[in-house]
Amino acid sequence: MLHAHLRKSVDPLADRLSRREDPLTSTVFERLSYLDAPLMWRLLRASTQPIPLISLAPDGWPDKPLEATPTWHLWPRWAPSPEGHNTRSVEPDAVCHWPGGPVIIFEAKHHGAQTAWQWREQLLAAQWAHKAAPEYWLVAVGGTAPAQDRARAKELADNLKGHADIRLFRLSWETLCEKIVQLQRSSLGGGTRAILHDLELGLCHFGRGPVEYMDSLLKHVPSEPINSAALNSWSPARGASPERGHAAELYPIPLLPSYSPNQDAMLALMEPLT
Amino acid sequence: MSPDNANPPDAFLQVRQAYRLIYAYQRRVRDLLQIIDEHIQGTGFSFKRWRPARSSPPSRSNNPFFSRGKWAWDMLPGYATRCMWTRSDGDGQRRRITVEIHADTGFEWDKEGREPEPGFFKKANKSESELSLILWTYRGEGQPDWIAALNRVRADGHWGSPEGHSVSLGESVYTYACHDVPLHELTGREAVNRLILKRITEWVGRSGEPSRV
Repeated sequence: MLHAHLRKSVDPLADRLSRREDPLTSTVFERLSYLDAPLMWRLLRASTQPIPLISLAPDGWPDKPLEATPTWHLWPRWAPSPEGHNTRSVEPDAVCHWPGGPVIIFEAKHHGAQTAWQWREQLLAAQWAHKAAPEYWLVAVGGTAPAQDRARAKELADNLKGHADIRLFRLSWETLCEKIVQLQRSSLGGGTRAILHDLELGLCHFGRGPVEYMDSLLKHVPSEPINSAALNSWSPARGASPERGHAAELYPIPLLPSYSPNQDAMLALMEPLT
Repeated sequence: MSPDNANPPDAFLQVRQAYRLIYAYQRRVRDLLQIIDEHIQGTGFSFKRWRPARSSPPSRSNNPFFSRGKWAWDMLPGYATRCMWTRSDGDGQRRRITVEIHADTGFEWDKEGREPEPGFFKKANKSESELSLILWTYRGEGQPDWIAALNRVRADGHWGSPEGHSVSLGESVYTYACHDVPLHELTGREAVNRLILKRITEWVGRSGEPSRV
């Protein structure tokens, strides 16, 4: 399915799909579930950041992978907890459950923001659905920001007093993609490499490729300095305008007295404020 | 290579190199704006609109971009881009965040209204590539008159000032602040957080007060 979308990436339908949350969730978490458990653990550990909770377990993602094989479910429908506000059901985006280990809930956002209310409902429902699990982790995927996450975590902790078995993490799609790109540089089997490659393609298709910052612009600077005057010898409309002084030599294309509708400096400054 | 010994093949080599570099720049501008947008929307603002800050937007597909009177600049909207987000706080307070990204602060308008010509710009090595974060708050009854507020800020000599500046127009009060950040300082996530996102968070947290970040 992913490759059908990629092949038609200029199709308006594919473009609309790339804006939707469920196809992104499905693309990523289906493929994460195909990875060997230790590698998947390593990838998630490298990509997530703990969100400190007040009065709840503040630990990060443990180093050592669990030995058992996890079970994945996308959009499981859980009965709401009696302590929760939902009356019908609770539906997290993805859940990874290690036998004898934590239940890990992934709440994914593509364009929207995370909410403490939704985290609370899902954690309470997880405790109700998996009563024997020793811990419940929630990974907020996308829609996070450090300042707001602190406020959300505080709200969550205030609402879940007495639940000391909870961990909270944030995961940015872009960081996940960066780690996937890095992982592909290591020595991997063909199947694993193909899954990681698909994950990277999928994340990029949904506009969640690695973030490039300004400091990496340097590597794109041409070795030869750019000489804007070089076009002088090509211009089909060559001819200096005497009144334009030195600039006429550098930019000899005669300028028509053209007027862009918004050329006036003040208008351009004011326009966004109207 | 000097202008004297340039020849057509060299010129197009330069054009190819320049476009590749501009793509790399534009990719980073896009990524930067995505980060800023997610942060701003997380504080309850909605994206309002964007537009090129120094020209008209590129023509629509059924309108030739090469018509007489159109500027070549219209096809370079990334040269200077302005994005705006708004929020109504419901108690007579409205806020606006404008982010402008200028690849080249050396830009100069043509005094006679012709298409701006880079030959007349300030020297590139004396100019900056810069992001401006402009923070506006309005408190009052009815629709704000942003243009009057802007004119007043300019008349008061505070245009471009990072110090929060308040102006009163009738019963309404506007506050304004502008933080200019050279793009070369935005080297990574930490710098973006410190120089942009943190300022927005602090400003949003100080309801109705001038920004003094």
